[in-house]
Parts: sequence; structure tokens; C-alpha cells
Amino acid sequence: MSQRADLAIADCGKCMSSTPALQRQHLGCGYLPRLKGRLSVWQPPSGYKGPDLTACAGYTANLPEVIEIAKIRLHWKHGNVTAACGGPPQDDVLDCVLILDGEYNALDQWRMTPAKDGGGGG
Amino acid sequence: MIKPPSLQRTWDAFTTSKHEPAIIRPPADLGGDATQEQRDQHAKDVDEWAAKILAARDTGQWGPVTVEGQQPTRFTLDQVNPEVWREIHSRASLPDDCERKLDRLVVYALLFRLALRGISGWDRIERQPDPAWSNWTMAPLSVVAHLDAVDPFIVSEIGLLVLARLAGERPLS
Repeated sequence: MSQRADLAIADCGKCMSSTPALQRQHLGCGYLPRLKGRLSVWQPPSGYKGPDLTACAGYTANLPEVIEIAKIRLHWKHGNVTAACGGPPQDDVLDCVLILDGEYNALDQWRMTPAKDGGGGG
Repeated sequence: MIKPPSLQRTWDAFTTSKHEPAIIRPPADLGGDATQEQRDQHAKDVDEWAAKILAARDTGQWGPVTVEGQQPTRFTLDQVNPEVWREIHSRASLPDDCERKLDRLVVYALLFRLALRGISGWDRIERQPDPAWSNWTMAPLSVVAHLDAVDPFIVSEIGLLVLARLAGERPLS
């Protein structure tokens, strides 16, 4: 089973059928009304400098636009962004690809940093 | 097949207008004699309905809010040219007393026309340069007039969706 599946973020349907609604609300499930007050939305580990996550990472990662950008990024890395987009990419698409690529790089860096130095490495 | 939200390609939007019978309506308003308990439950039901609509817009999965066996009217939209959006944003941000300022309802209708590529069940929409708007290519004003005759909420709602995406407000805010 992949790490993604371990984290139960691969399949919103599975999560919905196995997790009580109130618990999902506290986790920031995008399918439910947002609760007021402090939630226990999963946040990236130490070293992450972006804004706090306001919705479940699983919900976010499964959004069509996020998947679209992740796919385009794979082509972008090989210089095929125009072909992947079916024409010149939109400005927003390139911006999002750069943001996502920056986060991928930050994640790689975190994974290669020893835990004693605040990273996720062994 | 519904085209999910996209930053690059065309995508489908739906209206929650009361004239759209295929989309599940929010709970009906309560009468004046409702108890506090009924009002609390009603507010909860409305929140749940709104969350389902928001999730459908984010994910493109409209099944949970569609009346079984019905097909809602599909508004196929495309990306708005960023240069055009900057011009609109600039004019919408002018002071209220400025003659060139664009009212928000005008902005919604304009963005609707700029983004619109098709409406299911309608004839093909012929997009043309509009001299009233710097010859930007868009759907004809008659489309807005036709929809406004049904319910002015429709154009404003879809235009606001386009605006929210251009302004980066959804889906990850």
C-alpha cells in the first residue's frame, strides 16, 4: 500500500464511508460545512513556510485543478508543456506549476535533511 | 460528461437558480412561527446544502446535488484572457464617483460573456468582438438578455464563479 493510501488521502469516498462526519469536519473535509473555531487540519511537518492548510490535504490533492497541474508539471519538466496543454499554457497554469515544483523541491530537501536537523530523513 | 474545473481548458458550471429544476434546492424558508430548535436545524441544513454545492463546484462531481434522472443546464466556460481581466479589474477598482468605474453586476455579466462557450440545449453561441468593450471577443449581449428574462441570478452567479477563479478565491482559499 502506498504512503498516500496509508494516510487515507487517496480516496475521499473511502474516507467518507469510514470516518464520522464530525471528525471529518474537524479534519477540514471539503465536502462538509466548515466548522468555526480551531480545527485539527493536518499541517505539513516542520520546515514548511507556506500558509496554514485550511482544508484536508486529501481533498485538496484530489481537486481536478491540482491533479491537472501535477500532470502538466511532469510534462513541463521535459519541456513539453505546450503539448500537454494543447496550446500555449495560461499564465495561471505556469504560476501553479512553479508553485508546485517549488513545494516538491522543498519536500525533497526536507526528506534528505536528518531528523535531528528538523528534516524528515533518518 | 461534465468537464471538471480547469485552469487550462474549458470547464462546466451549473446554476443554483430556482429555475434550474435539476439541481437540488436548499431547504425551504421557515415560517415565522418556527421554534428555535427548528430554526437551528434549518440553518444546519442550509449550511450542509451550501457545502455540497461548493464541493460540487470544486470537484466537478455534481451527482450528489443533482435530482435523480435529470440533467442540469450546463454552461461551458473557458479561461478569460489575463490582459482583459486586468483591464476589468482596474476599472472595477476605480473610485465610486469615477465615470469609468464598472459596477459589480456589470463585471459579473461581462465575465460571463467573456468566458461563455456554450449552453447545453442551446444553439451554438457565436462569439464576436463587441465594440462597446474594446472589441473583446465574447458571447452576444442577447444571451444575457435571454437568461435575465428567466432569472437575473443566473448570469450573476456564473459570472461570480468566473470572477472567484480569476481572483484566486476558490478552490483553495
